[in-house]
Amino acid sequence: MNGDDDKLLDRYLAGESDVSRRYREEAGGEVPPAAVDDRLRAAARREVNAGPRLAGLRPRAWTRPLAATAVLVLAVGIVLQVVKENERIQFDDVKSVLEKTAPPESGEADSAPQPEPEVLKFEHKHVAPDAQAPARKRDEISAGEPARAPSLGESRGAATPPGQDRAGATGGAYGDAAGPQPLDDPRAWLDYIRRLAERGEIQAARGYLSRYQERFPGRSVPPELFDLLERGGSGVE
Amino acid sequence: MSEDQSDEQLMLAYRDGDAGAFDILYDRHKGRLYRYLVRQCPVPVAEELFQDTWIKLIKARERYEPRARFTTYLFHIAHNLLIDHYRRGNPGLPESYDDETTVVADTDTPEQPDKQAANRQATGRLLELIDALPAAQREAFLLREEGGLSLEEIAEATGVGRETAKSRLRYAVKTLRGAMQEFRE
Repeated sequence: MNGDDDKLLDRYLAGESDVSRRYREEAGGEVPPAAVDDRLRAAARREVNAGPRLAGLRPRAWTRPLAATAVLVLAVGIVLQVVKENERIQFDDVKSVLEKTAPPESGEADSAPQPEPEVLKFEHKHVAPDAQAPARKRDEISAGEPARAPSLGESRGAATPPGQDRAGATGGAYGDAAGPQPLDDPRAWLDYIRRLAERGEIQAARGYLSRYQERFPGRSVPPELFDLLERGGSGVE
Repeated sequence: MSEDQSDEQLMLAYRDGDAGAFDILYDRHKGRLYRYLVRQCPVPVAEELFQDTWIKLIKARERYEPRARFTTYLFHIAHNLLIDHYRRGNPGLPESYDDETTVVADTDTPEQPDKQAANRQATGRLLELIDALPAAQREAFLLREEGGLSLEEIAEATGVGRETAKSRLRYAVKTLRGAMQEFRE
C-alpha cells in the first residue's frame, strides 16, 4: 500500500469517491418481505407484553451488598455454631475422662502423689478465668452441667446398696461426671464427700477429700466427716 | 415516541417496554440490514439471518445499554450471525477473515479470479464486482455503505483492530475503483 491508496481511502471516507456514487446508483432499494416485517413486529410486541424475565433482569445496585451481608451473616453463624459445638465436645470429653479415671483402691494411692483429675484441669482452664469475668458465665457452666450429668441421687439411686457398688467405688465416684457442683463451692465439695462416704464409697470420698484440701487449703474439714470416713472405711473395707 | 428521537433513545424506550419505539427503529434500519446481508449470501439465507438478527436484539432488549451507536450494535449482531453461518457451511469461514493485520488482496478461494474476470467481461456492474470481493473486504465495504459505519465502528462491529478494518476497506475500494476504470476504458 502506498500514499495514493491512503488518499483514495480518505476521499472515499469523505464521500467524494465515485465508487460510493456508483454503488448508490446501482444498489436497489431491496427490503425484506412484508411477511417478515409483520413477524418481527409481532415478536417485538410479544416480548414486551411478556414482561420482564427473571433471567434477563439486570442486576440492581443493592443486590451485591445484600449478597455480601448475607454471606457474612451465614459465615459468622457457622463459626459461632462450630465454637459452641467444640465447647460441648470438650465437656463430653471431660465426662468420658472422668468415667475412665478411678481413685486408687489401695492405701498407697493415698500417700502417692496423684495427678490432678481432668475435671480440675478443665476447671482451671475454663472456669477459673471466669472468676474475673462476669459471674454470668460461671453460672451458665454450673447450670449447664446437671443437664448433661445427673445428680448423685439420679445417677445411682438409693436402691444401690453401699457395699455392692464396688465398680462404683472404683469408677463410680470419679465416674460420676457431676462431682461436687459447683466446683468452687467448698460446701458442695464437703456435701459430696459426705454422700460418697455414706454410700460406702470410701476410697472415692478420700480422693475427693484430698483434692478438697488442695483446692481449699484454708478451709477446715468437719471432724464428723473424718469420723464418717473412718467408720465407713473400717465398716466397708 | 417520535421519529425525531435517536436510535439509542428508541432502543432504550423499547427496552423499557415501548413496542412502538421498536417499530420506528425497525423501519429505519430494515433496508440497510437486509441489503448488507443479501449482498453477502443467497436471499433465503439472508432472510433467515435478517430475522435472527432482529430476534436476537429483541431477546436482548432488557440488557441493552447504549455503549456504542445503535447501528454498530445492530450490525455487530448481524456480523456474528454471518460468521456463524460461514462456519457451519463448507468450506467454512472465508480465508480473508483469518488475517488480523494484513489483508490478502485478491481472493478467498481459487475460483475467485475467474469469477472476477467473468464479471468484468459480462456486465461490468459494480454489484457483481462487490460480490467477487474477498468476504472480509466485501463486508467492510457494505458496513460502510449500508451501515454508514466509520472505520472504528467497522472494527468494533467485526471484532478486529482499526488497522485491519482500514486495510480491508482500502483494498475493497482500490479493487472496485480499478475495475470501474477498466469499464470506462
